[in-house]
Parts: sequence; C-alpha cells; structure tokens
Amino acid sequence: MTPAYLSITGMAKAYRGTPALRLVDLSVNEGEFLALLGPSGCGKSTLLRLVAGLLQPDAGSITLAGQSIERLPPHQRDIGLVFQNYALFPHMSVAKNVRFGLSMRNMPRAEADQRVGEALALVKLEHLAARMPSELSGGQQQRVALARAIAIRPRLLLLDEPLSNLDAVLRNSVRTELRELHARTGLTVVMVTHDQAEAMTMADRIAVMSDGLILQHDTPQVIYEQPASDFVAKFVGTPPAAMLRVDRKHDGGFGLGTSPWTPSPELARVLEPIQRVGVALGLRPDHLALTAPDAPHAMPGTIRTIEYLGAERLVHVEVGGQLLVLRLSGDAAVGKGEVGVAITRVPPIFDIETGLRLASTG
Amino acid sequence: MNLRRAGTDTIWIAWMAIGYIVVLLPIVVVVFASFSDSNTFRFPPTGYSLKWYQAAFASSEYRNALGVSLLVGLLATAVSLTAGTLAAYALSRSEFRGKSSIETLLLAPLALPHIVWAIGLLQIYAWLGIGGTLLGLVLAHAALTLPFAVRIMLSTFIQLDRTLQEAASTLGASPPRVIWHIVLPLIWPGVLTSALLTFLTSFNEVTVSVLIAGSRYLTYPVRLYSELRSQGIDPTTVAISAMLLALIVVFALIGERFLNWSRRV
Repeated sequence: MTPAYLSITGMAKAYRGTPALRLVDLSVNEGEFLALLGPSGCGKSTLLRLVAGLLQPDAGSITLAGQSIERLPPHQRDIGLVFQNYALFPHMSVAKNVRFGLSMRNMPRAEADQRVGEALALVKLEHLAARMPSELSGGQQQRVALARAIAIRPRLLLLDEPLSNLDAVLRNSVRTELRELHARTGLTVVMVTHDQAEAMTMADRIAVMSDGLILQHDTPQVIYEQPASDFVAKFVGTPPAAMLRVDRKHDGGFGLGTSPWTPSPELARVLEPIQRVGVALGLRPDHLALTAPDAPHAMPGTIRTIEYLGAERLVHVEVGGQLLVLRLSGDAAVGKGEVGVAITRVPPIFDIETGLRLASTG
Repeated sequence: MNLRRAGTDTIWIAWMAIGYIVVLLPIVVVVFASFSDSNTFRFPPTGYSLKWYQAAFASSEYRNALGVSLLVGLLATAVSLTAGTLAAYALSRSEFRGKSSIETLLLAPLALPHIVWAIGLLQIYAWLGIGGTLLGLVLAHAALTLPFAVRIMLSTFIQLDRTLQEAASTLGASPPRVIWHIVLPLIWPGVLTSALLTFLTSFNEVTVSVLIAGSRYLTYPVRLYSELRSQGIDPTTVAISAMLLALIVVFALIGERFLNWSRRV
C-alpha cells in the first residue's frame, strides 16, 4: 500500500505545559477533502497550524507528498492557508493580494498575470480585481483569501473555520461553492470546523477531535452510524444521539432506571453477551418509533415537547429520566401524554465507564 | 426646549473660544511682532517690515544654533525611534513576567520633572566623561523622547494583525520579506508620527539641554533662553520663532490629514 499523501505521525504539542495535542496520527489521501471536527479547545486549530508550519511540534513528523516537512519554515512548504479572519493585506488591491505568493516566487509578469486572472475567475471575482480589501463584503473578502491561497497552486489547501464569519444565508451557498471548487481544482483540502453539519455535508472524511486526540477518522456515514464513542455520537448528527442507560439485573434481565424492561429479541441478542453492569444505547430518531404504552418491548415514556419543522416533527419523549427524540412526518397527529417508544433497529452500544462503543455492536 | 439647547450651545462655544484664545494668543503676538519695524519687541507693532527676517537669515549665531538643534533632533530621533520600535515590537509580541512593569517604566520619564532627571544624568555623564558632548546631548534627548516612541509604536504594533504576517509566510515570504512587504508598509504611519513627535520634543527641549550641553552645543531654544536672560527679547529670534511655528503648523496639518495624529497619540 502506498503511503498517504499527507501523513502525520505521533504529533504532540503543549502550550506552557498544557497539552493541546496529545498524540495524533492522521493521514489524508491525495485529492481528499478532510474535515477536522471538534469543539473549541480540542486541538484542531493547533493541528492545522502545525501542518502550515506556523507552530513547531514538540514531537512527531509530517510528510507531504513523500517529503518530510516538519522542519521546513512555513514559506517553504507550499501550503495554502485561508485564515478565519481572511488576513487580506489591507494595503494591497485584490489583484495584488492574489499575486503576492507569485511575486514571492519571482514568477515572470505575464505568467503571474494569467495565474491571478485564473484564480480570480475561479472565485468569480474578476470584476473586483482593482478594489481594496476594505471595499469588499465579508463573503467577497473570503473569496479573495481563497483565490490568494489557490494561486500559488499549493500542495495542500488548509481552511480554518471558513464559514464561521459568514451570515447564515451566505454560509449555505459558500458550502456548495467550496465543494465545487474542491472538485474543479482537485486540491487536497483540510478544513477545521466546530460545526458538525458543515463537516458532514462537505468532507469526504472526518476526523473527530476532542481534548487533543482524534477519536474517530472515517467517512461521514460511518461516523454517523457507527460512532466510536459516546462523545462522537453526541457531537455528530442533527439532533445528536441521546444516551439511554440500560442496566443488567442480577437475574439476567434488563432494566431502565428502576423498572424492568424486555428488549426486542433482536436487541436482546446483542445485549445478552455483554458482560457489563450497564451500557448506554446511542439513540437517534432513526432508531425509534412511537407505539402504544403497553406494546411488547416498548419503553414507557411521556411526551414533553413537539417541534414542528414542516415536513417533519421532532417529538421529545422522556424515557427513564432521559430525553429521546423521535421523528414523525409533519402531518402525523400526536398529542401529549403517555406513550411507548420502540427501538426499531439495533443502535450503537457504549460502555458506561469508558464511553467507547462495544466492538460487537452497531 | 430648543431655546434652552441654543443657550447651552452658546455657552459651549464661548468656553471653546476662551480655550482657543488662551492657547493661540501668545502665538498671534509672536507672529505679529515678528513683522514689526521697530528695534525692540513690541506688541502691537507700530509699523510693519521684513527687516527681522532679513536679520534672522543673516545671523550666523542663530543659524549655528538651529543647525545644532536640527542635528541633535535628527540623531536623537534616529536613536529613540530605533530603540522604541524594537522595544514596542518585543512588548507587543511576547508575554512574560513583569511585562506591565516594564511598560510602566518605559513611560516613566513622561511624568518625571526634567530638571530632576537632568541633575542625575549630569552626574552619570561626569562619570562617563560625555558631559558637554554631542553624544551626551543626543542620548539625553533620545532617552527623554523614548516614551513617546514606545507608546506610539506599541499601539501601532497592537493594531497590526499578526495573522497578516502568518498569511504572508504561508504564501512564500521569508521573514525579511514579510517585514519588507507587510510589516513596514503597515507601520510607517506610526513610525512617521513618532519620528515627528520625537523630533519636535527634542527641538523644543530647554531644561535638559541647558544642563547637559556645554557651550559648544547650544541648541536654538537654549540660545534663545540665554539671550532672553541677558539682553531681553531680540526681534531676530521672534522672526525665527515665527518661521518655526509656521513649519510646525504645516507639519501638524499634514500629520492630521494623512496620519490622523489626534487619534494616534
């Protein structure tokens, strides 16, 4: 097997004794769009800056296209970085901003002119080439930053929270545009984001980070359906998965809180062999259905709130002290009160103590 | 309601007018008196002529003093600006224990009486053997003006977005090229502002110069001051002062127009 295009091994970084990255291994294939996803302070921006060369790692190595780069200064790495605040040079016009990287490479004038034109055309800003950054809207500034990073034909394009400074309407269109840009240029892209919906819709693969570690690195579908831990399950998906604790009784039966419960034969087959006092089921609306309170295998619950979303309704049901969310079609009639909740598919099952998904399940 | 507001406005305008008169009247007096045709300082003048301006250009003593002032001012500015810019850069880009005390210390000469400071300096210069030398005078002025330079450059660097430098480096600019293409173009208004302010402060300085400079390096204001003490006001100096005033006003207008001085200092 050929080594990955970008390969990060044993990367660690601490700020004044506080670890920001504990031990990170990550590989990205050529032409892939990878999202580094995690809450703020998880180390994703640190990782991005280490790859760009703006930070020095305490340990670990980075190879890009077969070349070891962790000792190279940032200006020798050929890595494009689009900053969260865009970082356009305020004293240069749009065209000069885009040309900057080419000037630094002493590219002949005619060739540079052509590259600047191409890069601006790619982000549809040819008509604003003579403007100053202060005369542009936020969305336009971001495209200039993008064109500037692309113009150098980087070996790798890094995006730091590219959508966070845009308003909600613009965000959706830029999301699509970035995807298209990635498809057209064939660039390898690493994007940092804290927004799981952004990561899910844009990336080929996602690395979910927390507390300086990568918890799971896989396609959006696997991360959604087979989360590696309860953290991933709760962080990814709209709405996020709810954790429902199921206890094992001394007699071998199961219990929800204080009351006994008989799971469906399908689920029981998975639960039976697990030698644990308790486990947590990661339940998404996809796993659940409303039934009568006295239906076999149903969990008794109480409807708390109903969110109307047009095509569908999200019903929040309290089961054993935990709120579960169910999805019903928009025209389905539901009232409030006592209901039963059935588990229709086997959900991912997590260890109560470690939070890790039990290998036999999901 | 409107009437009351009009009344308040009138009071404010009157108050501002008084302020302007207090500040500007002495300047008006000097400017008018410089065009006088009499042989002594008199305001208002009885007749007008340019003879004191001619005398000013003819006087080698004042030319020399202006030359000394100019030389000391330029050298002190160069020293103070270099030291101040480097200190400000270090202060703006690093976090260390005692940073705020160093900041306070760098600004301390602003609050110290010059005369007290100069007496101490005189003693130190005697030990170093640089009393009465050009070097001594330049260093004294540089030290006096350093707080201005640090202060202005510090606010300049704080306003300079650090990610711009990072962006430039990821685009392929080596550290010297980052400074040349990004940092310098963005900080030059601050550099120019502190250079002019430093130069003017040095140019106006009397107390320290009197004590530090020997007879070889008499700056213009010192010369003026000693003239005033011995022979009273020489109309020649009034003419020179009026010219300097005009120059400073021009600088101030340029500074305000292009560099927003009033918002920077």
